[in-house]
Amino acid sequence: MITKELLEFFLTEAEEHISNLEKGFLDLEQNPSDTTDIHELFRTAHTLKGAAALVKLNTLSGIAHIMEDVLESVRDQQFSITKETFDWLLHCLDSIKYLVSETVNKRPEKTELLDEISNALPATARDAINNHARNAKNIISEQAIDLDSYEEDAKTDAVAGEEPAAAEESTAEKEVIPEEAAHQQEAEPVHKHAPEAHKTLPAQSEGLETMSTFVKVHVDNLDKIMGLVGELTILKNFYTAETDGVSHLRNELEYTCRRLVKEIDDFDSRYAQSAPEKMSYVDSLLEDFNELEFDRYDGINLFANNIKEIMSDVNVAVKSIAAFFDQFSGHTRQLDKLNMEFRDIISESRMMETGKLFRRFTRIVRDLSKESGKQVNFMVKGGDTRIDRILYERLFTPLMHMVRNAFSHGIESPEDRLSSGKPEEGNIILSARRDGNSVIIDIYDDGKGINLQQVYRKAAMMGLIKDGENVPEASLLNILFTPGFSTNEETDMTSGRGIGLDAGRQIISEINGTINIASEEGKGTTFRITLPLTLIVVNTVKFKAGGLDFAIPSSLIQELTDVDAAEFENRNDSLTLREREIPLKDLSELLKLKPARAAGTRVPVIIFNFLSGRETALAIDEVTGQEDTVIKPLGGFLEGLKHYSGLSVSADARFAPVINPVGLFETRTEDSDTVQAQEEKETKNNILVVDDSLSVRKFASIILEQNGYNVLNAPNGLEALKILDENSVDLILTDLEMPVMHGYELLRELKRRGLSEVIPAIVLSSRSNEKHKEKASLLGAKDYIVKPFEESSLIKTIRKYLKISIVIPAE
Amino acid sequence: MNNQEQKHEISVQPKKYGNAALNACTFRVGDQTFSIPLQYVKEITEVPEIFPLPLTPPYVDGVVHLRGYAIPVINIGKIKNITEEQKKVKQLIVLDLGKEKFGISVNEMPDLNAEFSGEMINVKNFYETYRVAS
Repeated sequence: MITKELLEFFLTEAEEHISNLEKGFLDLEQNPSDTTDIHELFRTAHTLKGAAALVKLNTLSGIAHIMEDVLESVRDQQFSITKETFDWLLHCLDSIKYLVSETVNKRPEKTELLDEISNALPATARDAINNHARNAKNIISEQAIDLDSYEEDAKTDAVAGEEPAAAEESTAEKEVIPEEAAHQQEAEPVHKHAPEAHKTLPAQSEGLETMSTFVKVHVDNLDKIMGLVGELTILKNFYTAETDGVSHLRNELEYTCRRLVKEIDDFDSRYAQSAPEKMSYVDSLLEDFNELEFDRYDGINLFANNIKEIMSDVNVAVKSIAAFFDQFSGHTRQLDKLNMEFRDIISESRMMETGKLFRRFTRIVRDLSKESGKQVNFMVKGGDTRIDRILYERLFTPLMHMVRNAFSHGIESPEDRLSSGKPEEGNIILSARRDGNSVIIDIYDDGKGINLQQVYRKAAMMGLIKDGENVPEASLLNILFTPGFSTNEETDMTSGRGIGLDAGRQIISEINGTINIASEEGKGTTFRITLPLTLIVVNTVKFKAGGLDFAIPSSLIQELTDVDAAEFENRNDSLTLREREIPLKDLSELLKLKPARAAGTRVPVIIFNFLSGRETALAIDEVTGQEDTVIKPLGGFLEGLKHYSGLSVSADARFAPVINPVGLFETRTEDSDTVQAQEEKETKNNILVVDDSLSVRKFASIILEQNGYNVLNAPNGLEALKILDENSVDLILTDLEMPVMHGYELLRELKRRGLSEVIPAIVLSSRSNEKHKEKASLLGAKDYIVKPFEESSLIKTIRKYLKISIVIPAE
Repeated sequence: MNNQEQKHEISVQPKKYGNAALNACTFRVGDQTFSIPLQYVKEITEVPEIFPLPLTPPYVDGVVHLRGYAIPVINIGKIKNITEEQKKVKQLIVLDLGKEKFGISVNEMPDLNAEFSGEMINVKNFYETYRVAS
C-alpha cells in the first residue's frame, strides 16, 4: 500500500533530484570535458530510480534507469556525450516531470513513455550501453546467475561493483537483506544483484550521512509552529501588559502603606505629647483620674503600637512582593527576547535560496534560445539570498513572465545586435540581494530597451493619457502594467507582454511587493521587484477609516501627507502636490463606510506610486501608528477579497484588514456585484454519475453537460463517496449493480451520513422490478429511472429534484 | 425544558445517546430550525469580538480571532432572509472542512441531537456557494 505520505515524500525528493539533474546536464553541456560531476548525476538518477520504484511508479523508474545507464557509460568513458544525447537527457527529464505532474494530479502513469524514451535514445549511446552491458555480462556469466530476471540490473550493478563506493552499497544491501545477500553470496561474492525495489536501500544509507544535520520537515508543520509562536507572542503581550498593571497596583499599595504608617506615627506622637499636657492640667486631688487617663492612653497607645507593628509586617510583605515583581518583569523581558529569537529562527527555517528558484530559468532560457535562434547568456547573481518559502512559490510565475519578456522583447536578434555595435550574444541577468528588511530582485537584459514613444502613442490611443499631455518617463513606464496594455502588436507565443506584466504585478502586490521598471533605449531594461523579507512579520502603518482599523505595509507607501479640509471637500477627485496632479480617492467612500473625520481638521492622505502608471492618493481618517505585525492570510472562504492582502494581528490580538492598494483600485466597488456572482454560481449544479459502465457514464455526461450541469463520475459506490468527500454535489445518479460497493450500499451510506435529504439520489437501473424500486426508495432514493432512458425524462426528473433542493433555496 | 438544560443533559449523560448516535448540531434562527452534520462542527463557542471587513457580501459579519485562526463569521439569517429580534449574538458554531474553517453565528445555544431536524445544511455546498471566490 502506497500511503499518501510516502508519495508526498517521494514528490518532494523527486523535485530536488530533477532540479539537480537539470542543472548538472546544463553545466555539462557548457563544459562537456568536465566529467567530475557525472558521478553525482549518475547517483542522482540512481536514487530517483529507486525512490520511484518504491512508490510503484515503474515507468518513471524505468526512465531514470535508462538515464542512469547512459550516464554510467559516460562516466566510465565508454563514449563522450553528444549534443543529441543532451537533448535526449533533457527530454527524459521532461518526461519525468510530466509523470510527476500526472502523479500529483492522481492520474496513472503513461507506460508508453518508457518505450518512447528508449527508442529515442541516440544510436551512439545505445551502442555504448550495450558494450558496457556485454562486458558486465561476461564477468557475470561465469558466476552462473539467472540473468533473465536480473538482466537489467546486471548492466548497472556489475560495473558499479567495481567501484569502491558501489561496493559499500552492496555491503549495505547485505546487512539489510540477509536473505538476498546470502543468495548472492553463494552465487557471486563480488557482484551484487538485488531486485529493483531494493535499490532504494543504498540510496537511504547514503542519506544517513547527512541525516544527522538535516531533517526534512513538512512546511505545514513549520506553519503550525509559526502559528504557535504567534500565539505565544500574544500571550506574552498580555503578560507584559498585566505586569505593568500589577506594578501600578504595587506602587499604589506602597503609597497607601506609607500613608497609613505616617497617619499612625502622627497619631502616636500627638498622644505622646498630649499626655503630659493633660497631666499638667489636673491637680494632685485628681490623681485617680490621672491614673484612669493614663490607662486609657495606655490602651490607645498599645493599639497604635500594634497597628504600627502590623504595618511594618505589611511593609515587609509589600517589599518582598515588589522584589518579586521586579524579578518577574525581568523574566517577562527575557521571555520577550526569547520569543523574538524563536520567531526569527522559525522564520529563517522557512527561508529558501533564490538561487534554487533562478536555476529553473536556465532551462527555460536555453529552450527559448533554441527555438528563436537568439543567443543569450543567462546569469544569476546573489543566488544565496534567502526568501520566505511562500514568496518563493509565488514568485515563479511573475519571474517567468519577466524572463520571457526580457527574452522576446528585450534581446534583439544576433544581426540587429551586431549592427548596433553590441556583442552577438545577449545577456539576461537575474539577481537578488537583501536590502534591510526587503529583498530586491532585478531582471536585467541588455537588449533594445523600451521605446517610450511607442508606449506614449499606444497609451494615447487607448485613452490612458491625453494626446499631447506631458507624461513623465516613470509614469509612462508604469503604464506597461495597465491590464491589457501591450506594446508588441504581433503578440507572439512566448509572451504577450501586457497580460504577463499585469498578472505579474497582481501576484507581487498580493505578497506585499512592488515592481518598477528602468529602461534605457538601446541599452537595456531592468525590472525591479521589491519584496518584504518575510510575509510573517511585516512593518505596517496602522490607520482608521470610517471608524474601523486598517493596516497597510509601509513598504507600499511612498509618502504620508495631509491636505486642508476645505481643499479636500472641493477635491474633484485629485490632489495637487508639489505641482503634480495626483488622483485622490477617499478610502471610506471606496469601502462604503461613513468617514469619521472631525470637521475642519486636515485630512491625512497616503500616496502610492505604482498604480496603473501614476501616483495615487488615498484619503483616510487618521494615522494611528506603525507596528511590526503578524499578517495572517484571509483563508479560502474570503480569498476573493482582492482589496485585502490579509489580516494584521496587533499586539492585543486584534485584527485589522491589510489594504492591498492594487486590488482596491481594481475591485469594482459594488458589493451587489459580488452577490450577483454568488447567485450565478448557484445555477451550475454538480451532478455525480455513479455507474460501472463507462458508456453509461459518458452518455449521461454528454446529456447533462449539454443541459448546463457539471458532471462528476464514479465507477462504484466507494469512489462516489470519495468524490462526495471532496466535492460539493447537488444530485446523484446511481446504478444499482456495481463492483466494490453497489447502489444499495451507497444509498444506505448516504442515509447514514444524513445526506439523503440534502443530496437527492436518483437510481438508474435496468431492473424494472417493483421490488427493487421499493427497496431503493426505502433507502432514501428519490426516484427510479429504468435503463435505457430518454434524455428528456432524465432531465425532467433531475430538474424536479434540483428545484426543490432545500440546501440553496432560490431567492 | 430550555436549550441550556438539554445541552447540560447531553454533557452529563453522553452514554444515553452513545457517541456515534449524535449526528446533528441543531440551531434556531428566528422561527426556523437548521441542522448541520456534527462531523463538521469543530466547536461551539461564545462569539469573540468580530472585526468587520468592509466591502464583503452582507452575510459576512466579519472575522474573529480564535486561538490564532482567523475565522470568517457568516450570518445565516441574512442569507435566508430571516428577520429576527436583534439580540447580541452569543454563540459561534465553528465548522471545519479540513483545510478551511468558518463560523456561523447564532442567537441561541445550539443543540446536539441524534436526529436531524429543520433545514439541513450541507457544509460543503454551503462553503462553495457562499465563499467569496476570486
